Amino acid sequence: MTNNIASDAPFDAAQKELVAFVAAAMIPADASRNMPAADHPRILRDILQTAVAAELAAICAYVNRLAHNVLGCDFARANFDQKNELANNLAGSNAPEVRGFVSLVVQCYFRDDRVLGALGLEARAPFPKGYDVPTGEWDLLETVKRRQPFYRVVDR
Amino acid sequence: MSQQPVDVLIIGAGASGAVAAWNLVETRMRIVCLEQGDWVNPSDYPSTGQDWEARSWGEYSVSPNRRGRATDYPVNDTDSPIAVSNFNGVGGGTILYNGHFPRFHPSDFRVKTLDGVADDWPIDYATLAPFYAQNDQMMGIAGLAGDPANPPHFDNDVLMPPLPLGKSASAMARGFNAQGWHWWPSDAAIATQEHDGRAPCINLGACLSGCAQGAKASTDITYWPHAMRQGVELRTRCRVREITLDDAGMANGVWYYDQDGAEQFQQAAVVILATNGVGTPRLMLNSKSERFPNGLANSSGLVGKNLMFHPYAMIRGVFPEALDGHRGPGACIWSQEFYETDLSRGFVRGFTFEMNRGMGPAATAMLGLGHGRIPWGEDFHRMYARLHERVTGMVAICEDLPELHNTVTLDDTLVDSHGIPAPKISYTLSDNSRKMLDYAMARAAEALRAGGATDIMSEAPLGVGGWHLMGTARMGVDPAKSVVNEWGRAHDVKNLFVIDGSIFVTSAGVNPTRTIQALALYITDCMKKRLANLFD
Ligand SMILES: Cc1cc2nc3c(=O)[nH]c(=O)nc-3n(C[C@H](O)[C@H](O)[C@H](O)COP(=O)(O)OP(=O)(O)OC[C@H]3O[C@@H](n4cnc5c(N)ncnc54)[C@H](O)[C@@H]3O)c2cc1C
Repeated sequence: MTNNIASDAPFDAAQKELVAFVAAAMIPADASRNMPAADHPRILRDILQTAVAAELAAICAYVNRLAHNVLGCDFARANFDQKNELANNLAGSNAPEVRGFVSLVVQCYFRDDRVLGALGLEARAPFPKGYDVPTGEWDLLETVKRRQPFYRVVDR
Repeated sequence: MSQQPVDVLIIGAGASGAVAAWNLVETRMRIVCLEQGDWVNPSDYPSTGQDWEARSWGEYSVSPNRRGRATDYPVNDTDSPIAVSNFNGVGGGTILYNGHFPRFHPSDFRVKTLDGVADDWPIDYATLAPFYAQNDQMMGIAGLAGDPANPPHFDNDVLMPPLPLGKSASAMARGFNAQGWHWWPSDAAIATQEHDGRAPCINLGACLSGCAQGAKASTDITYWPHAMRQGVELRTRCRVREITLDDAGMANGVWYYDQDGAEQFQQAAVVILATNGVGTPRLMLNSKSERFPNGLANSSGLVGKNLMFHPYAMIRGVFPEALDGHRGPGACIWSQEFYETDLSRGFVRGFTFEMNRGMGPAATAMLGLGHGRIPWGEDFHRMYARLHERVTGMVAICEDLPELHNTVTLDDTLVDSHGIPAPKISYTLSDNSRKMLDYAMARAAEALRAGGATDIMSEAPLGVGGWHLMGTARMGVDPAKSVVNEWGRAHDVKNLFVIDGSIFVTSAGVNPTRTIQALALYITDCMKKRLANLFD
């Protein structure tokens, strides 16, 4: 994988910057856990490639509307603190545009090799290898086995 | 264009359509099934990729509106707190189902007599018992005999060993034991050893988006290969628009759109509807004629009425130690402690708890974000770590009683890609259901805490949970109060049969597919026995 954001994605630089900022505001890096931020170039590229154009356009429009209401300017013109204020607003939002974006970022973040590795998960498809699941504590069933049938008996 | 006439035309290749095709094939009649969807290639299932969670929310979403495949039809469910879930393709809903495979209880067929609500069924548990057994053999069931909540129902040669409890179900079992409540390994339509050419479960954990291993019993890999080997013709990408009548009021065929979008007429001597509790009323209501201006076989006015969903509560607990995460099938154990009516609980009828094991990392993050347990920003990772692989829980499947005002009608404006009106759902949650959901959430929280959970997250009704579609062409002996008779034949049209979830009189408090399939076997068996005078 390269560190470049795909140039053929149908999004302009301002949109990409907005997406990167909001994604990292949601999931920043945590060096102590070896977790990258959601605007890591590889993850951001995945986000931009996976996104349906209409969905990203919707979140960008939503954030810009919010920026106008809260700050009186476009997102692009806001300073760092103002952008953080916007991010706080978004974090509490239940708007469909925001929910859709959160889902997109989470999907792309939690399939990244480095993220999965840091969580102690194998970076692979479930099939064909599958997984082991322990049989479990079957002796717990003994008390239930001693119980009398308790379904209602019905006359024909 | 017109096709060669056939003896039996089945519409829909899902759970019930597959059963009908297989059970009728020995009659040597010419049988054709028209299915609007495709065959699904197991190597296409999400669990074959590292992006399996994302794909299960997109092209394999349980919601037809979200999937939006050419083979789907849109559903207007804005007037319902519960949205329709389905899959349109060979296998129908069984492609995405979880494989929880409970039977109805004997009391479920006698609701009016026992509890004074809704109606009794025109058939009983004993009538269906041999067909349940036959279906168990075909689908392949894992489980354990001896469940005190159910009548004995297993031959040893039918049953495969139960699914593993793992750490999740063990934790929940401890909680249920501490409360003194029933639990038992679930009957699951998932092979735990080789069965009928299918490989055993390897704990992929993505059952709800199709089983790449072929362990889960979807009908594309159970009934259909047998039916087709014996001569049934299954035509995919064929969407039926309407069923037509001859001058004598008998169904004489259907108009459908083939894979190229061309309109075709298929003549048939018998028509069987297997298009589920939403697709069937949709098709019947769209089949208007002079004789039936309000929809085919609808003299009772009940086509599309009495829609039942099973309102679901989802209750999850966070445990201090790591459990199974997304590994292992969702199906594991159930509890029917609260299944039969006990009016002291404040509601009539009851529910089943089905434990659902855990979830993948993306779903865990969405759960935490959605329930305010994971914040945006600095603390994201610390709070995520508290949930990672530590969440397990259950759903409560609440019996939904039939109510006339819960309906499937035809939408005035929304249409599918062929211009056929889409179904519109109007549904309100009853007071009885609300009380049952609240009660179930409270009991589940107690059990989870008793098992060691330190935090509980609940949701009810589950908005995406309209996956059990029942009641919209109910069976009964009285033509004024039902759409089909006690063996699935339309009261008004003597060569039209309905075999899917539409014919349920009540919904019981369990997943419906084992009963849908037993009914489809029973009805097609009745047809075989009456072949000489089927239309009398
Ligand atoms: C996510 C999910 C999880 C589930 N989990 C469980 C579970 O654990 N246990 C359980 O018992 N049940 C479960 N179910 C429900 C189960 O899938 C259904 O009960 C079952 O599939 C219904 O069978 P059916 O024959 O009535 O209809 P379906 O299986 O839905 O089949 C109907 C078929 O008809 C086709 N069709 C519809 N209209 C037309 C038309 N006009 N022309 C041509 N073809 C048409 C459709 O494409 C579809 O293939 C689940 C369902 C979903 C979606």
